[in-house]
Amino acid sequence: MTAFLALVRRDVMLSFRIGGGAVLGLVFFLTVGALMPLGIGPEPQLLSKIAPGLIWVLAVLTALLTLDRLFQADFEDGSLDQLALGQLPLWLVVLGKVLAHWLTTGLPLCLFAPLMGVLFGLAPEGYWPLVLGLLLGTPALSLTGAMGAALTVALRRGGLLLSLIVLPLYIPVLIFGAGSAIMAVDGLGADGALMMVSALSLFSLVVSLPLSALSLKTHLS
Amino acid sequence: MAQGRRVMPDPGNFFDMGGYAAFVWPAYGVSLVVLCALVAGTLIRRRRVLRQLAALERAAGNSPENQ
Amino acid sequence: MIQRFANPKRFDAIARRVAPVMAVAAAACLAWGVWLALFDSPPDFRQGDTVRIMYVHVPAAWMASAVYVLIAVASAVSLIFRHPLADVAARAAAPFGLAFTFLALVTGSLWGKPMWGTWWVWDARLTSVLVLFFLYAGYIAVWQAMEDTQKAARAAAILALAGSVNIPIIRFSVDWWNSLHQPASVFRAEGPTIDSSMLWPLGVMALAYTFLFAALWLYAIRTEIAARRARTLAMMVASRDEAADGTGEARHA
Repeated sequence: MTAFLALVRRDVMLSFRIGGGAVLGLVFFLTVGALMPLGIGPEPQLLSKIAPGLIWVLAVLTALLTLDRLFQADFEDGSLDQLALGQLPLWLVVLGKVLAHWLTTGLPLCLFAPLMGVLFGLAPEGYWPLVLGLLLGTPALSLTGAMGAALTVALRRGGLLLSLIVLPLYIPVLIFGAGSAIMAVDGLGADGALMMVSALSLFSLVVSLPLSALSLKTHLS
Repeated sequence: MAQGRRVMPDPGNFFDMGGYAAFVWPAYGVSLVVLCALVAGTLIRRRRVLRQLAALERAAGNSPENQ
Repeated sequence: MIQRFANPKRFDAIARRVAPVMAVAAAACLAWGVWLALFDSPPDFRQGDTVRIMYVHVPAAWMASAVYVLIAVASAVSLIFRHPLADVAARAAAPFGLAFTFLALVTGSLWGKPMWGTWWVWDARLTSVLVLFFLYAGYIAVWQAMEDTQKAARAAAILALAGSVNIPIIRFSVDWWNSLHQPASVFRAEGPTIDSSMLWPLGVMALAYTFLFAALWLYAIRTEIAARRARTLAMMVASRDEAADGTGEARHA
């Protein structure tokens, strides 16, 4: 347990250093969000209608952008070998790194999503399901993405391939995540969609950890 | 469901496809093209690989331990 | 069973004899099926002649999922038993799956325009088949991105397994969600809901696609085995030449 927490702590600290993904991811999220009304046009009705979808797509892109270095830095300098040989089983190492990734990108996104909602003029009923959906759904993004990152860890330009692999697997989370806010705005109730998002997160927890560990092992041997 | 069998349609009607020619024929056309491309691609790749393999076997054949 | 066919040499010997049979069967079924589909079947009372698109659309869609299932099973075998033939088989099947998925999407679109009034809707069935297309693309990209065949094989197998979640979604999407796409009408517990005059061309075309895939797949697997042999030989020749160069330099010095 201490080893696990130490790993999470280390990764969180590293991502706040220069070149770390935490702040950059958030800045990306907000900047691209600000670009959208400039490209689409400033009509408030249109913007408020597409707000949940836009925010969710941005969350997906931000996750992708920060994921390709999830294992790569440690793989290149050999610390991943050390971690694999250490007392923690490899799937726990994956879980630790995923947790750190979520704490530094997923969680800030959830906290800043309401701000984005304000910029897009999201209807008041949409805020709570939006934030809740992101809280429940971004773990699935980090977990599924970890699998893609593990598969492409040894490739020098793995980021592009990572997106190609991971984006199709993100689609269900995107559909139900954005769907929860959309349905709340339409007065249909977000509970069903939110439950689906939680189910997807749990499912990706079960599937992603062993598969990520397996593919890391392939590249380490 | 069926409207009676139409074994030999007259040619005008046949190519017209009940007014849906613009959808039916492209669907069959694209299927034909893609399936032919699959066949051709498989055969071309096979021939290329076999030629490569033959050349390499000739090159490797100089040393007896490869046999 | 696996042990019997897993030997690449024996597989090659069997495939050499089976593949032409499959090819002939495919050609025969295709000729018969197209005859039935275009000439010897009635137009639907509601859809008119557009129903003929079904005979190329549905077999392609079936093959699209079936090939993915094959790849997923072969990937599982490759991961569990570490058998090289399994990942050769999976790799060889992928381009065909991609092509069938493409056909299913395009012919479906051509069917949707006259029937639904639109080329495309973002409903569950269409979206999940589009996802299948992306999965095939990613799978092929993983194979092409990695130099080391063994590592590529394992990475691709892991991806194929993760993506197999999509298959039940495709299968049941029309039952789970209300959509424009019509529900399953052939494989259902209560028996098919379409008339036998349409079931025949559909079945024959499905057989044709299956035989065609089987023949091409066997050829592609044999090609892939030959390609691997070529790669090994190329490395052997290269290392031998290097060794020869080394002695040559030593002599000069």
